[in-house]
Amino acid sequence: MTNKLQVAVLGVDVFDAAFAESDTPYTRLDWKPPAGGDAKLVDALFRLETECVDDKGDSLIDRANREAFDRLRKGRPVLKRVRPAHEVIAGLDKETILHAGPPIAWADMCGPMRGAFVGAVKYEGLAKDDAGAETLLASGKIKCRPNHHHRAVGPMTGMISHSMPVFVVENEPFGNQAFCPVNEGIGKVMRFGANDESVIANLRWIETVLAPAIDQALVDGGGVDLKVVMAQSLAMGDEMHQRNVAASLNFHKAVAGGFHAALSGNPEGRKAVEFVAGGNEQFFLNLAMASCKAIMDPLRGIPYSTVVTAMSRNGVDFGINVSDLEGEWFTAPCLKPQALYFPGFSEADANPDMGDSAIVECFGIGGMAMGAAPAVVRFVGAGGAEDAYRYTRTMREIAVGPNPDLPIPGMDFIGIPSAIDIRRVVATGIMPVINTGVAHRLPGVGQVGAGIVTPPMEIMRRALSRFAEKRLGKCGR
Amino acid sequence: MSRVFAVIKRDSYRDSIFLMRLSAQASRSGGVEAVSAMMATDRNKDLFAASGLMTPEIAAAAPNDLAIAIKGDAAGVDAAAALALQLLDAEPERRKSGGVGEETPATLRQAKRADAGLNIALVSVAGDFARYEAAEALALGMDVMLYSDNISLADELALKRLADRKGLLVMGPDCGTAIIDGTPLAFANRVRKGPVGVVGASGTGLQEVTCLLERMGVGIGQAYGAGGRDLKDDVGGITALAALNRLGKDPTVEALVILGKPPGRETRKKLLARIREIGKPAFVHYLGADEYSAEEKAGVAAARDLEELAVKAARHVRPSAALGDAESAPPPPSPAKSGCLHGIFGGGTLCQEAALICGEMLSSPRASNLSAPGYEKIGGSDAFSGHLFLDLGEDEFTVGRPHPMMAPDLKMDRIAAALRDPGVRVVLMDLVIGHGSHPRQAELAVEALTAAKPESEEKIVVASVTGTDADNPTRESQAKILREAGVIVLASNARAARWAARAAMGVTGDGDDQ
Repeated sequence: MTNKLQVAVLGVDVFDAAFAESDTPYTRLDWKPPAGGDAKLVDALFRLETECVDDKGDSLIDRANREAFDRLRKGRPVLKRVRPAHEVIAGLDKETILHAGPPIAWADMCGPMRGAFVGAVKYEGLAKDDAGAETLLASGKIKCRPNHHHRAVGPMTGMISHSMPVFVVENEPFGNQAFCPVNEGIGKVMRFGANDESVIANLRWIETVLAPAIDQALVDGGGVDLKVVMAQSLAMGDEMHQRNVAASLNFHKAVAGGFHAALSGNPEGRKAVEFVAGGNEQFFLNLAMASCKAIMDPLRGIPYSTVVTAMSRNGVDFGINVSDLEGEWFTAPCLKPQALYFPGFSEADANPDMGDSAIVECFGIGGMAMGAAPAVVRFVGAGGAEDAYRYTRTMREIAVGPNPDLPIPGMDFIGIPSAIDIRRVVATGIMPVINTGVAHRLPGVGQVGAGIVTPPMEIMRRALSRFAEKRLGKCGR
Repeated sequence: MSRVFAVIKRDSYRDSIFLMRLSAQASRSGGVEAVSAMMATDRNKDLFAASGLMTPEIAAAAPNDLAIAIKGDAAGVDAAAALALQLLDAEPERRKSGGVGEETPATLRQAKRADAGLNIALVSVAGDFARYEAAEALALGMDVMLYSDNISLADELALKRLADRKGLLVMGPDCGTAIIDGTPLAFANRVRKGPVGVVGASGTGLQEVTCLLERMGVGIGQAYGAGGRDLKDDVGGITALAALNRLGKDPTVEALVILGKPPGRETRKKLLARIREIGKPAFVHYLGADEYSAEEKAGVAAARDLEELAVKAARHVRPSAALGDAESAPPPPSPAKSGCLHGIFGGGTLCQEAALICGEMLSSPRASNLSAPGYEKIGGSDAFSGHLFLDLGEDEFTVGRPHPMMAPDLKMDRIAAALRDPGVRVVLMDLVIGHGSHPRQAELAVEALTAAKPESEEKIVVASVTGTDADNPTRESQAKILREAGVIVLASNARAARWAARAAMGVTGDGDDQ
């Protein structure tokens, strides 16, 4: 042996003295049973590890996940245009409305989701009032479809309807596009289920004033490389889920000239600039989401890959997609976030977790990159920067790798933990941490708090069992 | 009577998360209905108003002012205000700062990331989980020493095939002993580095041979354990063959020693072929094998017991090598009087070897809780009158309790029982010392002897001590304690067994062939 013996010890400690006496470096693990001690899952994990290998004993799953990771790193999301949804999203006729999360029928939706659908129906002029909208929705004539089935994502209720403007983000090396609506600002907004006249008017203003101006700025300037903006903003203390302060400003910086030119002489110009760069610190969230969606879509359908390609919630169920299990949703009831509440609100007011925004954690920002944004960690009731670092260190356990393209300066420039591997989630019991806003359970009230949430463990376990069922016995020893 | 009271801190910015926490903490104090701390922006003023917490002071405050509204009874409001101000002024909580990855690793992956140099995993967790951890270790490019048992043959095979493809080694399952690069793993003894490479499918056999070599002044290059099933044709000696390859490539290894129960037919052929390919002098002993013609024809030296195996290998390295005379066999006691021999062991291979050696010499009836030719197989707790060999390391004795090498109490009870048994003439025991073993086994054996007085005074007690004088306690110190209590201590397990059998048969005269 050329290397000096170095021992990892799992189990009884009676043999440790020998290592100390013989000056043999050793590491005793703080071990606990894998997969929470579930015999069936441990058996699946064991068999996947020993059976799905090539002639050299290298894991086919690890290889597939490295391929997924390479594609993730290769991804380069560029914001190209802001266009009406029906122009760019296939199959989006007037009667189709897209929503966040896994599929759900009108009758099963939570309050905010119903409120948002009513708003979207009114926005499209399909009904004059709430009662008319509800009747139409109940009639089944409106097709409710998940954003993820249309290469799109949306925060919270995630509404995308026919005429709503959406960001068009192209992942240039792969040529795929992803779509996300423009952030509506804070307060009473459709993403939290609000649907009154002021909400519709705000959306109309975005459609007629803001979106065309940004679009023109993009046409002028030739698009914005959002990966660069994300990397810069991460270094400035944003994790780009809960906190988008730097990212929103960096985005404005990237389009400032063209944006100014497009708004020149427009009486709404000042409001438009303040909307992007002033009043709404979460403006960039929707761009981060579109970027991550564009980056993650090419990871779908890689044989043997156990990487999570989407995490998404519809306010009732939490759903995930897994690369090799493309086309299948694994769902279970959403958990309520562990959150801090705005004055006057409490957990009793909280809607279960909602939105497509957890796509950013699939890429490795948001809760996965808490260490880049210590300011955010206090939402989870923890005190200091060290707690933020600990979150990100823990997330490395379930990620395929640290992604050197987005280094975290405060953590000695280690990369964000990218690409969640369901094997590691199930084996370690460590769930991806998602930073999230909390909606009021009644439509129209809006955001009542913010905090962290995780997927229900059950869906990770079910996805792993399904994967094992699909692949075991076909990998040949 | 509840009222709303406001505290305003001028030009004092705090982020909203900090303020939400402060609100939450302050509102937990007694007599308080609500506390809300926010920057006094217009939007936040609306929120104050909406939740019934607006006051004229807050209405007048500027956006850069920090406003705290407290609703409650008079005493509660005062206490909450004091607490809120204290929280505002408090220094951020200091925490232990540390580098990246300072926590104790919980998984092999984490450990490997923190220290890429880790190259072997010693796994002794429960079998179901142990197999998974072993697979993880292999995936991470580490060898595995699998001390755990209760791993199915299919899983053992899966692990070993994976290791084989990756050029790694799985020692075990149920592997109790190895010495790698001079480091004892699990039950092992301190031996010098040297030119002999050992592969053993038997734990205490490996200890006996490495200790005998050390005591003859010959050191060990590597000693690999393969696990008790490795040499069966079901497994095909995957680990033994891989270990031999490593010994073949190791330039410091001059001689190969292979031991275990007799391999399966095919595996035995493969082992021989591998030994010939490697081309280094080799010495084999398969416990219970009665012929070695294929090995001998191929120039491989065969030994009939563990001591002979060690001696032959040692003499290849140093022709003058020999075990010391201090423990050469004394003449059998007189007056010659025959009786039953009870062998009480902690080491499975040592029990097996003793039973095999004595089986040729002892009359019937003979029984053991191990399977041995010529012995009736009985349960360890079954009553039996005749010659008896018990391995206290068998599963029937170790369910829910540590191995007798760690916790010899049960073994000592059985020794005391044998000493009291009127039909027993000779009691034979092993003492395996070294890393992992109980440090006061000789003392405990003497206590058992004392406890069994006066009956024990009529008995002949014979022991071997497997260990070296580099161990703690030393072999010599343990042997001395036994000798002083009247125990005959011999140089090896084989010698002790042979001598004990003669004594039990009432043979007189100097018949020892060593």
